[in-house]
Amino acid sequence: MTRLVKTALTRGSVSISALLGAMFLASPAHADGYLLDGNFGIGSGLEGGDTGTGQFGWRRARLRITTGIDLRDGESQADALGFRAFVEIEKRATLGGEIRYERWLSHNVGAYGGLIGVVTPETLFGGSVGMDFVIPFGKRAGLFLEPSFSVLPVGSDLPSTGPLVWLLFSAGLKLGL
Amino acid sequence: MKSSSARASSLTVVRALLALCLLGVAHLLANSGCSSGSVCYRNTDCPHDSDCLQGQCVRRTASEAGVAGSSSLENDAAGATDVSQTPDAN
Repeated sequence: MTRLVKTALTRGSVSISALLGAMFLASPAHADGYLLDGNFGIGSGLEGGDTGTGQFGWRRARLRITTGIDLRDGESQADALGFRAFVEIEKRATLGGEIRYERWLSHNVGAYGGLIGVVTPETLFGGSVGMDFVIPFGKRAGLFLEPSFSVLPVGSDLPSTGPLVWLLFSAGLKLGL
Repeated sequence: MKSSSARASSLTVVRALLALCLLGVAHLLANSGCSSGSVCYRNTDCPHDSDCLQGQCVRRTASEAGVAGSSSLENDAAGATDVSQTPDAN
């Protein structure tokens, strides 16, 4: 009787340890997961807005450094979700971000739309649309060129009720991670 | 021969489109007015203790006083309104 119990316990412990080993030692499944692209670039352009005098004016937009990632669906590589963080490095530095849906028309040409905002030291929120052109350097790297148009109607950084408009052009390095 | 002439004509079209784009931007700037650095468009154009009011940087205490009682920047009771501050230099 005792022997039977010992055998059962041994079998059970072997089964459990094998199961735990399989669970914790196995590498994470990649299945048809996401393809990851990293971006790093700089940008500037035109910034338009109403100063409160009722006249809409334009000036050069602050220089910004942008970095982020694109998550492409492994099965449908035409669709992607992009995340960007940017820092405006002129005048009082600001920190902002962007989340965007990207639709790649070909491997090197895409269009996107999303939400953009500045979070500190003042806030600014709005929408953004743009295009991406990638000039490939080898298999995994490329130079991206990105014209974009953003309208930001909400936030504490606005001196008047009118929106701020960005017509920007960014360029930088895109890497397949 | 025919293809090279076609390429040359398409290049000409691209150049013409580029020139039109540049003209469009120039027209936009000319009509909207591309401001100099002395006008603020955002509160973060101004120094830390200032806000942007009607294109000018105004010290925060003065601007709050202006909102609370005074009707214009120039008529601030304490005479503390300072519109001489310029937006932060690049």
